[in-house]
Amino acid sequence: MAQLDFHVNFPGIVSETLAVASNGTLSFVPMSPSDSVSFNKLNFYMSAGSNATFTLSIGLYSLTGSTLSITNSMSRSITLSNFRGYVSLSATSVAQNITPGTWWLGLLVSTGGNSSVAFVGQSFVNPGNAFPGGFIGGRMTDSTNALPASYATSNLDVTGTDAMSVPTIILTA
Amino acid sequence: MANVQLNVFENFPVLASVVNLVNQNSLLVQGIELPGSISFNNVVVLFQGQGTTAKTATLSLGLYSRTGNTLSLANSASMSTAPTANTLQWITLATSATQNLTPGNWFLACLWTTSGSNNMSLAGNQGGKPAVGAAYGGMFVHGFLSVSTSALPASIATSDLSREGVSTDINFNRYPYVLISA
Repeated sequence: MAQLDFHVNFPGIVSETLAVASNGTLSFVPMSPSDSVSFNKLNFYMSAGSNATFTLSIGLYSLTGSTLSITNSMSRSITLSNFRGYVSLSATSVAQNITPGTWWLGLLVSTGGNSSVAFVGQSFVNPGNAFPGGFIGGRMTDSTNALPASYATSNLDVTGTDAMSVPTIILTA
Repeated sequence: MANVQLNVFENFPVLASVVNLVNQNSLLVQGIELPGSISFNNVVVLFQGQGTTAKTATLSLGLYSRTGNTLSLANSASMSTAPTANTLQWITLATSATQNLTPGNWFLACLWTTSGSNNMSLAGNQGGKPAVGAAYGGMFVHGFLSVSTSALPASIATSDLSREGVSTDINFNRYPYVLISA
């Protein structure tokens, strides 16, 4: 078993600007390292308009049955202006060497009303029905101001572009 | 995860399009994650040439491992071709040594040069609008060598590599499609 130095969710560079992040809306996206990797430095490709101040809170969740449970988190408050690049987070709440398999990142952007913050990554087509298989990601329909300790996947919206699009993520040791 | 022996590895799971790799003598470096072992034997790229003008393309592909802040050349593969008609074809690179690669992170470094005509390209990742505001943090993952080179370096200090996020040149965000099959 190898110890990875990094894991990227897209091997190639994808750079579509996704839907503008909604204030207080939590989205869950998958991350599946093939081997263990330290949950140390997490990078998101983001864009922002003029003087965008926001807080990015990231939860690392495991899935048991249909319940997502938080195991770690990072947070950063930042002001960006006319920006298109990487936002790095490194303040893990607990040092953790995550094991191989599928984990879930909960992405919460608290914009304070600013409407020009967006993730950049891979957009998705807009199917009219909910994803019919196992959970592959989704977003909360209710607003929240904090990462929940646990969340039922049945309460997530799993329909359409806004729920299925995935930002570019680079995790490094 | 148990160490499995792979038969196929692609640096991109989906072949996007044919792109021009126009930055000659620029070493493009892409970190990859091998989920299992695979023999570095049959290394294949997809080449396109257009027109009848005499021309030659040379690709050197370096396989690097990392120790600390240094990438070290572990293996390499190369090809040279001089098409005289329109073509879109698979080309198998000649590897310097057969090696069973172990699971984990490796780095593919691409050095592309042409002469006679620029009407040649490799299939690869289209790239897209580059990140220019800030590079990613942490360990080096992908980018390019900040100085020109005519050969694969035996070792590269990661501090000499520019990360995605520092160049507005889209060509530094493009990597060739590489398929390794046992």
